[in-house]
Amino acid sequence: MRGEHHSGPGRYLLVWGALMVLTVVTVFTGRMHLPQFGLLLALVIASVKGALVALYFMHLAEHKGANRLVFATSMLFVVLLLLFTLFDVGTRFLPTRPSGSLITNFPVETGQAGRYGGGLKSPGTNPK
Amino acid sequence: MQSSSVAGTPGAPHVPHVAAHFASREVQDHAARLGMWLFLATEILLFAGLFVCYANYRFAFPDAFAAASRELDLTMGTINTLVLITSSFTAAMAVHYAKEGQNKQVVWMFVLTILMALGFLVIKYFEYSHKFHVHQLPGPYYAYDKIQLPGVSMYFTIYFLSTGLHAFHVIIGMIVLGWVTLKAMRNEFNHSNYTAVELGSMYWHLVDLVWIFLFPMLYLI
Repeated sequence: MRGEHHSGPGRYLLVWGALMVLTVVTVFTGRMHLPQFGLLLALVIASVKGALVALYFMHLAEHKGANRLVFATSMLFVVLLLLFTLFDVGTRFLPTRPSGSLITNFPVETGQAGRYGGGLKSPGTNPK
Repeated sequence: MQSSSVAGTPGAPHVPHVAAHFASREVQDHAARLGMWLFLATEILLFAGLFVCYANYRFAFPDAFAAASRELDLTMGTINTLVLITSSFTAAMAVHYAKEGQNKQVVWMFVLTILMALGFLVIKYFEYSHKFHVHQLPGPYYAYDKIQLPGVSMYFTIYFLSTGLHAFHVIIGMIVLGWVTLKAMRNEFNHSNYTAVELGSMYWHLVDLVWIFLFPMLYLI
């Protein structure tokens, strides 16, 4: 015996029910096409579902620390990869964006603070 | 996996050997799981590359992505999600039965899992064939005249790459689970030997985990 907590069919059934309900919820909220927080809500629901699968179906909740460390590290690197690439794309100058791209409100061209551009200035206009 | 057992006397429970470089069974089992988690971490990072691709192009072409995602069949996608979640549940139940030594139930649970995996692929085939039919294809092969926005072919490139890679993982998972099912048919698993069932089903849960994120990304924009 491995001397660990034995998760039984009851808990699996509960997790399965929660996953089914969350799937239906995410389909309904997805079909509403919420303009502002639709993506955030879908990602939160997906993360909750993913956490349920990892913790209970994959037994991460009852495994030893090293397994959790491996999983947490891979998640951290996924987030870093995503964030830094998006920082790059979000702060690019107009000519380096793909043609037809809808990211057009670069701060300098529009004369405003900018949603993604931060405090960047056009090339050649930086104070010496 | 270290838990391969020798064919002993018939009827005697299979007890895996402890390899010489492990202090005990517990350490050996822990190493097997840790190895599986490391492998699954590389799988997560493999799919993460496609997720990053998706995030960038969706950021650049939000309207094209929204229009293209409405071309996907939401009913088929939802049914596929529910099928995959249920197959994950039966795979988890197989681990439970393996711990109890009920090999017949393990076989049943894995047969159900593999059948649902097959169902997933059949539904996926119908979705793919419809897209081929109307030329909603990746990159330069995109020729669907109703939606002609910049970036829309990029959506279908990412759609086919990510669902294709996922379907490939479904097929690998079916082979792995089939192999474990054969071992269960030979009555190999009991309370001290179920590593193959556990790790095989962990792979299947990862396939489910990836789809949990692919589904809202592609179908629910």
